[in-house]
Amino acid sequence: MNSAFRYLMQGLFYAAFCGVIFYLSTSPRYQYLDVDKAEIMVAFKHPTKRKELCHERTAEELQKLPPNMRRQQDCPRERSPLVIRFSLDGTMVQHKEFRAPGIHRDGATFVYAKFFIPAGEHRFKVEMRDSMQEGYDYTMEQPITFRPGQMLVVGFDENVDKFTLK
Amino acid sequence: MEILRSTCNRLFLFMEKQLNVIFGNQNNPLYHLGTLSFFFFWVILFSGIYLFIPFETSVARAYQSVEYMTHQQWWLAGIMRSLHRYASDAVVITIFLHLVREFSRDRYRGVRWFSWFTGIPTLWLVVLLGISGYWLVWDMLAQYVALGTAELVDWLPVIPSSMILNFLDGQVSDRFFTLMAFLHLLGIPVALVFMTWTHVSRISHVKVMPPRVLAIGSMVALLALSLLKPAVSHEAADLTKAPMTLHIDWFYLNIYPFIDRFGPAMGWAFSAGVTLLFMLFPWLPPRKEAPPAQVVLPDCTGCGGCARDCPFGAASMQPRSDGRRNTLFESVIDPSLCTACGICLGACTTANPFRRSGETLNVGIDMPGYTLDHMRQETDRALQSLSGERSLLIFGCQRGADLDKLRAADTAVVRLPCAGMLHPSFLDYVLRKGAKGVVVTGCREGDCYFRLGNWLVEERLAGTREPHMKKNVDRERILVVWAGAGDDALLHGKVEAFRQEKLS
Repeated sequence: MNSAFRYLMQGLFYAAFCGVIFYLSTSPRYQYLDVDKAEIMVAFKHPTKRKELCHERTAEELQKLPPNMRRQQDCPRERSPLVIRFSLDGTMVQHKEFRAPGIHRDGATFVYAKFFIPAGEHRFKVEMRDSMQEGYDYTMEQPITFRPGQMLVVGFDENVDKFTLK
Repeated sequence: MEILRSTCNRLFLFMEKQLNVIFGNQNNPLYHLGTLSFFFFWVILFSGIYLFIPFETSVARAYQSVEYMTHQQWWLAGIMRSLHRYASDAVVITIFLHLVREFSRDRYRGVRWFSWFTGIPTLWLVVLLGISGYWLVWDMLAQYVALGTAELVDWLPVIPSSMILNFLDGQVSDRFFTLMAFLHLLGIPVALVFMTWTHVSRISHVKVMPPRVLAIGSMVALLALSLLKPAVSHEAADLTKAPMTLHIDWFYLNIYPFIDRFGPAMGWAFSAGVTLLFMLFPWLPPRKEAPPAQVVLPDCTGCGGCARDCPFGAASMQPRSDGRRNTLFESVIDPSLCTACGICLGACTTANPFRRSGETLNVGIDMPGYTLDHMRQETDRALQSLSGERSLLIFGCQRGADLDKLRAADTAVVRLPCAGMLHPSFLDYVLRKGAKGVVVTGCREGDCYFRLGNWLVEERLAGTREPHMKKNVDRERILVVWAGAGDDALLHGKVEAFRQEKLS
């Protein structure tokens, strides 16, 4: 093989190498969100209520405990699971349940979810249960116009016990 | 596993053969994948140092500073940015090919497990370095990467606080952004340097630069790509917007679309599973190695040839332990590093076959699986079987071209674990004992299974490395041919041409 042809082939090799680099460094393009959609992201931390209420120990129960642990009240540490539900125009679009973290299930629950919805005007409703009771403890419902590509972050303000939208 | 390995090997042998024609053996890129990876790191390092000067490590100004580099100062900072990006992508290709090639050549098991094992976390550090680099641009792609990373990290039950909450208050804190900059600029690179050092710590004569021609060619190619297709950013990050169409760098960011589809749990499971599987490769199944080299202390002169030539650092020189006065050192073999290639035997000054007939060959270092005595017996047997006017004896390694096809009445073959095991005096021995010519052959040039066999043979025969061959040996009657598996026709052609031209 003469040297000119070898150089040409080397050039082609480098071109192919660079071609692979360029192509895979930008392509194929990835459509994270369709152009007519918006994203809802839910992320907050919330300590749910205790799973069981405190109760007074009976004399019999107290007797079974070591002397240094004989407290009158028994307050189980485990917290309730957190249930959150999202509806759009009366139709449920997302329903999630989160267990409290920790060995004793007594930590603050980290809520994280994301989902896509069609852009436009919708009646948006979010409901959350953080106790063992029936129904939902917190509800928010309001009309929202979602722009295409908008990211709406749903949070929860512990100070006022209300959902926040950003 | 064997089928997969042999298929990969055939594919690599085919590609290497084509590239040998185009680049020559010395500059074949597939023979220099490790050094090319080092070279691309140098490009990344130097371009990165330059980019750090105009880069603003605050979340509010990072994007503007990158845009300034890309558009206002495109002629220098823009090119540097593109070089930084494309060299980072190139390194993924070379590392990946390096990994597959070492697997296909079966150079990852037995005592060579360590380089493979440490190479996997090294690859992860490279990926982390790339991901953290994309973060620093703080465009929509960076935002996507940041939120995806946070989602992955938050899934881990061991993390007490939530990383993603850092992003959803509408703005990322400068402190957090600076932490990422620190990781990309110093933390991960330092860890990577340490891991790379560990990766090569069990081999000697480590090369960290590719041949100059290959370095220049690669640099010119990356520069041309940087000029023709400069790296650009997406629009600035905005945490009130979701990213829509993304031009993802699939070399580094492929995990994110995966977790979008399958969730962070599957992302972790897949990454951990693949990592674990790859790290266990050397034991799936393990390879039984030939017994390691053994030092015969009474015959060891302490010359240091074995320690100098051992490609894996298995031989070292230690203070003499037997009280012998005429030498200070003795050779010591670390069996956990020895691949039983026999290169130390070829380097030993006592490994010469010229002794009294019938006398057992005593040598300072020997291979229990293929002793020097056995090698001379094999050579003697081969010489006795030769007949004809232009008889040849071929010393060849077990991993090169098929030598059995060459066996004939006037052609005898002695197979060695590695061509580097051959002490040069054996060539003299063969010629004196009646063969008209002698051929040394082994793996393709630059592709020795034991790393340095071809190079050491060439140096020893050229007289630039001990042990030397006697000056009065007729060099015209010696042929060195490097022919790997599948190069049977090449070897046959060269041997016949040698026989016709030199031995008539």
